[in-house]
Amino acid sequence: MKVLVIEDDAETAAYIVNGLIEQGHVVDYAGSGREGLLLAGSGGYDVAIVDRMLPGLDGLSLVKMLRDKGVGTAVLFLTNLGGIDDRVEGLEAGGDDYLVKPFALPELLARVNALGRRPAIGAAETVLRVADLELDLIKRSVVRGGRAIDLQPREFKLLECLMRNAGRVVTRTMLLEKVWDFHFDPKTNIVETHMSRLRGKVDRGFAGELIHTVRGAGYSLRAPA
Amino acid sequence: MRLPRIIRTATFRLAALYVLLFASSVAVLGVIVYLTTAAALDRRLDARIAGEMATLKSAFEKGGLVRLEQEVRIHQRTRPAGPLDYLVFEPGGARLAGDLPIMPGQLGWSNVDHKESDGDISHRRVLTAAFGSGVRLAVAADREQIDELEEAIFNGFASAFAAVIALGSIGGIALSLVLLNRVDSIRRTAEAIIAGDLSQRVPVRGTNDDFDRLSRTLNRMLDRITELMESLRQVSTDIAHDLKTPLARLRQRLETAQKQSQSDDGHNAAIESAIGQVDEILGIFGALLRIAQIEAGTRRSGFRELDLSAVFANVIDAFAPAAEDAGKRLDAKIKPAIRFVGDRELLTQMLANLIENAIRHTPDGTRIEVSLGSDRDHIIGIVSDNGPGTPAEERERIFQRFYRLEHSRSTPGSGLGLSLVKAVADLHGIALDVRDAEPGLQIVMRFPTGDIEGETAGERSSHSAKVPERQDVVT
Repeated sequence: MKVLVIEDDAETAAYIVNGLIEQGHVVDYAGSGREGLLLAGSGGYDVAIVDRMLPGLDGLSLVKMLRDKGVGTAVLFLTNLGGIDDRVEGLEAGGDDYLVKPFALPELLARVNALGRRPAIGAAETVLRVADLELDLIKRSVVRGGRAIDLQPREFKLLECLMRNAGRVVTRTMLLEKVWDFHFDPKTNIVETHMSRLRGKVDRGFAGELIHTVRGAGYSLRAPA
Repeated sequence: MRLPRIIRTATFRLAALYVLLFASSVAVLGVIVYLTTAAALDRRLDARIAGEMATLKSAFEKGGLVRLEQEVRIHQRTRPAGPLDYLVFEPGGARLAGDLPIMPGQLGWSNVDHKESDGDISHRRVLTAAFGSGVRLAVAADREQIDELEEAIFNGFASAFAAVIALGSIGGIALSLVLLNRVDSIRRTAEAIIAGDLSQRVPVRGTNDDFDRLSRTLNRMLDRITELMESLRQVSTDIAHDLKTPLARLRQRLETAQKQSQSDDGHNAAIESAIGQVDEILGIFGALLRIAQIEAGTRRSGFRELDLSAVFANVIDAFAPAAEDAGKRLDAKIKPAIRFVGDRELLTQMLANLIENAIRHTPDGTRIEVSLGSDRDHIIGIVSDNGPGTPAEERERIFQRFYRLEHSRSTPGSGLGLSLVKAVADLHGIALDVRDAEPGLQIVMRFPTGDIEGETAGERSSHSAKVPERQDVVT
């Protein structure tokens, strides 16, 4: 994927850029808002990572200008610790996701991946399939190997989220946001307990595990090799 | 020297201005009284002289010069019209009768000064008339009495003027001194506080006057500031203390890792635990910043009408499996479709923190109950457990930053979860009640209903347009 990083702090920028390159992304970097706007406007980027606080032109205005110009690049905002209003403002300005600094690299990579493949998911798609697992969004039913699986509503949503990102890592925080709309970090292992119940229903008694734990990052649903 | 300072005070300047105005009015009054009195006295004197002249003239007309001289002598003896002097003379200057010591020059009214034998100068008002061709009569009155009266009036007012100036100045200085003293005592207190002694208070006299009331208000303000400073100091101490522990632990682990682990696995484990430690510290910072931001109140602009029941159901749904895995039971009684105006994200976190608190600080087998109900006038949410509870004297303190019961010091947690609950509740006007669930702890949330513009109208007016009417809130 082609990723643009707009971040004024050189150390953070290097950390992000190196991480993305290691993952095989093509990365451009801008150290100021003006430069970032120029690059993003001329662009063809799949994802832009934009820091909220930039010298010259702040991230929020930058993205608003991009959107006004009709640039559809997915935007991931980086916000500072404790900025509780930042998420809503960021999304209203045309951002697609946000991440609070400091963050773990796997968290950022997972989000960039999720954003980059967004257009691939057709809104018309009503049945998600991975290997022998089938999830019907209309009938709200799940079938694996011809056997119906009974899921609680949150478990269904959890599975849907994993299947939409099949083959990619979905982090704990992403799941908290998407499944429960929790935009804070609970000290209780909510995701883990739900995931273990989901696994009990989706994987137990079937040949080949679909849900995998990715150490230090999150979870991934993928067909057995 | 104290005096120049007094002159510069506002009170003294006001007093001086007042004295000046008052003295001027006394002076104007004096001039008016003097002039009108003098004019009236002069008119009376002239009338007396003219009357006498008329009487004598009629005597002359009846009996000629002889009769006139006779009459003048009688009048001089008896002086029926007051202390008047007369002179009958010829135009040539021959005195025929009368004792007026001067010789009037012209006919009609004149004022004549004359040096008396005793050396005093007398002022006389003289009326001279010609009777026929050869005889003239002058009637004169001494102005001494009038002059004395006028002088008395002038002196009286001059003394009054001087007294007004003198007393006014003394009063002004005294008033200024008194006020300057009161103001100075306030100023001295303020200076002492600026110098660092926040325990100083403005003295109150007990007279309940303006200054006392001002002093009391200032003292209350100072009390409040002291209180806030104290809590700020407490918080910074607590922050330092609570961050010191994980930082010290982090340092120990890094040191141990440096000394011992030679293997990659060992290094990785050490680094992982160090990252975990740093995350914990960052978590504390994040929570503090979040609480501070919520307390700042700007978040209210994001208030929307929402389904409170759905918020509760979502949080309970999220925590039920975790509670079960922790050996506890999470039961819920949620009345559906209760509407409320607020911030979904913050309300979610508030309830999550309350439930988390109940899960974390109770033993295995505890039953945690969450309920949400409403009637026409109330929305009440309750989170309760049948665990060990909190001692009565500690109950009010559980919402303080970094507050943790002694026995929970050993369990992980920042002691900030319930502070955030309080901050969110305050933002929404939710009253929190901590009770004994006998046994266990019960936290009651009373959500504001009815007129949203009511008790916090001032603070909310900025976004009142977004707040729906009451009947829409409670359905």
